[in-house]
Amino acid sequence: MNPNAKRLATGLLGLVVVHALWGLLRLPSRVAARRLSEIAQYREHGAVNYFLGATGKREDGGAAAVDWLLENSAPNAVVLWRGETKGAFELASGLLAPRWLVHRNHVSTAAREYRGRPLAGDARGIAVLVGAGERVELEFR
Amino acid sequence: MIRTLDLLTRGAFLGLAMFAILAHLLLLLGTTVPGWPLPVLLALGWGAANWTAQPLATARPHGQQHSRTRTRAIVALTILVITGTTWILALGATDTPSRFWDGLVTWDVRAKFLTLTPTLEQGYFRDPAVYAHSRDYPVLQPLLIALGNRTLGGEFGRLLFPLLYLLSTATIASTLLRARVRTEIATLAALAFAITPMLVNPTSGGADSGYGELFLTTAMLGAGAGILTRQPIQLAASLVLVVAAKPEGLLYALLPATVAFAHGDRRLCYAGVLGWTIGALAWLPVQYDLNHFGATPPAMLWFGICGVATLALGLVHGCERLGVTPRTRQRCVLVGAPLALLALPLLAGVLGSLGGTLTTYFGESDRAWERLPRLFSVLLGLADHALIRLRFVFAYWAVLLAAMMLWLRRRERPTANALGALLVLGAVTTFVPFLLSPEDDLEHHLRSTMSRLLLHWLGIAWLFVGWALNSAWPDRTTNNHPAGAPIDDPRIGSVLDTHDGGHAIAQPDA
Repeated sequence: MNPNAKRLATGLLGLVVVHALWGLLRLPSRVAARRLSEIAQYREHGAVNYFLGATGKREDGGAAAVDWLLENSAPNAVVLWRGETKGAFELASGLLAPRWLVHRNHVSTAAREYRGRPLAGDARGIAVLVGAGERVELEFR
Repeated sequence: MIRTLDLLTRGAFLGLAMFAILAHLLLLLGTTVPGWPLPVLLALGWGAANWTAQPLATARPHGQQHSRTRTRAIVALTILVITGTTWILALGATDTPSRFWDGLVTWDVRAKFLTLTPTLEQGYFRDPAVYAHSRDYPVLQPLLIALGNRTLGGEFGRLLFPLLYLLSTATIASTLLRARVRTEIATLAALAFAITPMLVNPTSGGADSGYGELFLTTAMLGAGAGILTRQPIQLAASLVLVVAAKPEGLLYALLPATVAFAHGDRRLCYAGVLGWTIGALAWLPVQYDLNHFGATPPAMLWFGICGVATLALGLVHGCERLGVTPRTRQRCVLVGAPLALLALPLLAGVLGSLGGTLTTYFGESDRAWERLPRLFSVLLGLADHALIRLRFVFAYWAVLLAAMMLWLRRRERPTANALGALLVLGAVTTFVPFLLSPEDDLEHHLRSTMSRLLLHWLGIAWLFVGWALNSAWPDRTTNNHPAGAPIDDPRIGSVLDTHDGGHAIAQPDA
């Protein structure tokens, strides 16, 4: 075999062994411990606060609005929305599933349901989730 | 045990591909997808893998006792590590839903709706007024999770992720063993893949993050395995899954056929075209259906897919009839691949009208041309994420070293390595999203996407490194046959090892 190729092959084998050892050494801390810590944090704060709450360095993304909707609407409810879809609203849509999110312009102001599903709200009126960039808010109509 | 591993992995790809075809057909017909076909088709896949299995000749530890002990130690360590990591990934996948943005927003939501009713005939998919973040994203992964949730309860459908992790690590080991790579090298390659930080870290795109990256990585690895061991069925089945896993799969799935064409392997080339065609016929009509809220896909879509396949098959057949040499074909691909990249804007008129994700990327025909000056920055980003940031530790350094080694050895043993060519084409395709995406902030786009794109090629990278390593230390018990060819293959010295399209008998290493 070409001596340069032989040296490269030996180097390659060494590199693969170092790669494997490096990976093995970091498994307990970076893979297991960090993952378990994330799981514990998720469970401690709950899904909504984990994504939208003011936990750690994160700004409050409007967790209270999503929490209110989860507590005060059935899973088959329809949540009206308006505003920006980018940012916190995307997360809110995931957290609120399987509720449908329907833009408020598609539903008349007098309506109390949409396609046979109840609209989320209370005595104050029908709830509207407002996407406002890095946070979501709740208003009633 | 090696034979069992080989059958299990190949059967899993075949069974999943058959399920993907059936599930997409049922979704398109507007019916509910039942759970029972999945285990049935997996069993069928394993049966078919067993039926089509060739005698398996693997390299064995030779010579002295200490060599066998070392091999056993490496195998035991690898099994221990992969078992432990799978356990951790299973906890990460099932203890909570996705803990990352795309996992929650893009993938989990659709799995939630499909868990309630595994059909597209529901408001979330059918009512344009209902907000859906990624309505037309591939549905195979959410559907598999949904069917798992319905069968096992809770979030246990997400066990799909540790199972895919197991399938991919097992595929690396079994493929290399089938290619008669020495056991210790095959095991080491599987271990090296299994501990890659980008794969196992709790991070965006990681194995249990809920993203589609692991599915696509596994499917691409299956395609690489089909190429290395020259198994057309494995290649075609994997490519069906590649197309159905993520949007970029439609492009990736063209590459194995291109590589097989360049190397003059007609069987693999036909298999590659067939896999892409079946995958596209299964997925693209469903994607159209999703984009247009249940509308019937236009005839143009079916004819377009079949037209592309017919053109490709005609080209292969024509080259065969004219006796075009692999060297000429390789030159054609070298010229054709960049031209195809530059011609992407021309596809805008065709694909842009289909809506959804395709329009997002192909809708503005001038975007790619305007962004050509970005190419160098993307290249730097590629090098940065592959080699410097250590998310892949030394995986891609190992690919570079292996490529250099094989290049230096080309006079001793001509090696036209199909996996290497596939990796080169893979590197070229990583440029595509940065040319076509609506995301203007290149730095942010590189940071959020490049590592995930590189992950798709990780399995193939380790197949390539394992195979290259073995060529430096060939198995002495069977050194009349190069790695990469089953021992009973009448064309030993396959296209992977020769320049003549696989018609010559390879010579043993000098």
